[in-house]
Amino acid sequence: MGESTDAGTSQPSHDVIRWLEAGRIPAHQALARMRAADEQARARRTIPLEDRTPAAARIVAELDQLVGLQAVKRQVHEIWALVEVQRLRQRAELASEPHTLHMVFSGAPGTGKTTVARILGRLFRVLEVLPKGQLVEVERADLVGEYIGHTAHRTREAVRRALGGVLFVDEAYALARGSDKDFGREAIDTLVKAMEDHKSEFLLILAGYPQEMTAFLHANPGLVSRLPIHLNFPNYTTLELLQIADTMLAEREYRMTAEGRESLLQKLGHSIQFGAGGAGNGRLVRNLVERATRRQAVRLMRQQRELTRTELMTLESSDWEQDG
Amino acid sequence: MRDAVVVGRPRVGKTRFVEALSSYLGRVETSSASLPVEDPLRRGRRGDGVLSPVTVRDRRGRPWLRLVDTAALRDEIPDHAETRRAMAVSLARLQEAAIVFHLLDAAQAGRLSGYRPPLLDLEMRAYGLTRPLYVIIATKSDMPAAAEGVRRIRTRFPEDLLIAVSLPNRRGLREVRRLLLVHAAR
Ligand SMILES: Nc1nc2c(ncn2[C@@H]2O[C@H](COP(=O)(O)OP(=O)(O)O)[C@@H](O)[C@H]2O)c(=O)[nH]1
Ligand SMILES: [Mg+2]
Repeated sequence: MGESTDAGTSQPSHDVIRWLEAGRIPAHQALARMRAADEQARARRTIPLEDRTPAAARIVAELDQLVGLQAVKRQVHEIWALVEVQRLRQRAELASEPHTLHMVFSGAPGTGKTTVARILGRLFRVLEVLPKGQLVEVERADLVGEYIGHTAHRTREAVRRALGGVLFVDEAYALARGSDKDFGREAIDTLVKAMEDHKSEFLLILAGYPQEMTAFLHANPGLVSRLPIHLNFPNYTTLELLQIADTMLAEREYRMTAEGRESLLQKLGHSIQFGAGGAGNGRLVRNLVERATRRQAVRLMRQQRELTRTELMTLESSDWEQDG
Repeated sequence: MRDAVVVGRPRVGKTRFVEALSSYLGRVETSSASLPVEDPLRRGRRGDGVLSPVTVRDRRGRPWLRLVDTAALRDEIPDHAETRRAMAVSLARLQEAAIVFHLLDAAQAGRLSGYRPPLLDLEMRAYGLTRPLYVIIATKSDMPAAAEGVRRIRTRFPEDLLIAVSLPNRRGLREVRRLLLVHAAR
């Protein structure tokens, strides 16, 4: 019991304030982290049974540390509580429904869907909902075959690999693409059958862009009732993207000048406002960060002299510029 | 008794605001005794504009509010350990406060071409909104260009509580007091 409650919470706010004092982080970052710590604390308060399952608490804390995704976090806390309570009810010999936990994840690429799916697999393993908790990630091309029967076979094969864990079908709406003769239909039917045949032996997650998923589910009402849990992954806000950039840079031991941060902020704001599908997601940040580190490298190599440690670490405003 | 903390970037008018508001509210007393021993505020440094908290009492002498001035938060990581320490104290105070007055310099916002709040202020606001009461105080509203500044700040944060304050002509203090009467007495 002793170590359990705070097991997974990495940055209580007194640590954050100490980091500020030590000159490790600027004030705006301290504020962002204090806010995250607050959110975590609040989320924890809603879970009464947490200290009974330290392993689960640790995994959920990992989820809580992801940037943004407040609604997803809240729902996962609810699912967690539900599973715990059902188990306690069983122990108390009260009626307990076996829960259907198949899910739909709506969100653009790079908004954290796969990351959350992986965390859920592990969570359900420690909660003993799933025996193994592995994540098997597939898309249309992995399921749909070239002749009748081929698709059913490939889909069953994917389900078999996912037994005991999570089958994550990315861009699932693509299964409904094309004509009636399309084999995507066969894949959907096989998945539905697998959910019947292997009840509570695996967890199915269908993921994809929000609008496409809505249309897809609309066209397949049989699926909707079997996938009762819907999680929405909104595009990140500018500040959230900046927080992601901070984390990425810290991991890679880079840092930004104040002007560099402003440039990045402008750039992120601009992409969110004017960008197409790619804007507002984590991949955008990764691309910007990678390009900036390349540009920094070129800039530094042009200086025909010894480079300081600080210079090697620092990304300047010009490193974030568009051209080149 | 609740804490109302006054935060903002350097020279936005925090210290003057606390002074003016305390004298406007009356029945105040400054106490440094309540601060923890290692607190830099105890050393009476005023260089960074840090004052000891001010306790405000009601007619019967009961304390109902603590007004807390803070050292400015800066965009950069300051070189001086003392300055960083003062900022750390500011954040600790902020965390304990139920009421946050976030000061933005309206004169400056009006002068700049195109008001873009710096990241620090955005994060400050985002944190402030997690507290029970968060109020933007647009300061120096008597100065040239401040009217435009107030308008820009309001446009940028249309949903927030905002009070324009000017100390020379005591504008805005009454509204601040009214808010405090509602929110502090809990
Ligand atoms: N005109 C005008 N000047 C102000 C007002 N409030 C503060 N100031 C000036 O702004 C400067 C900074 O004020 P101060 O309280 O020391 O700022 P702090 O660093 O935030 O504590 C001082 O020169 C003040 O006189 C105001 O309402 N009107
Ligand atoms: Mg001051």
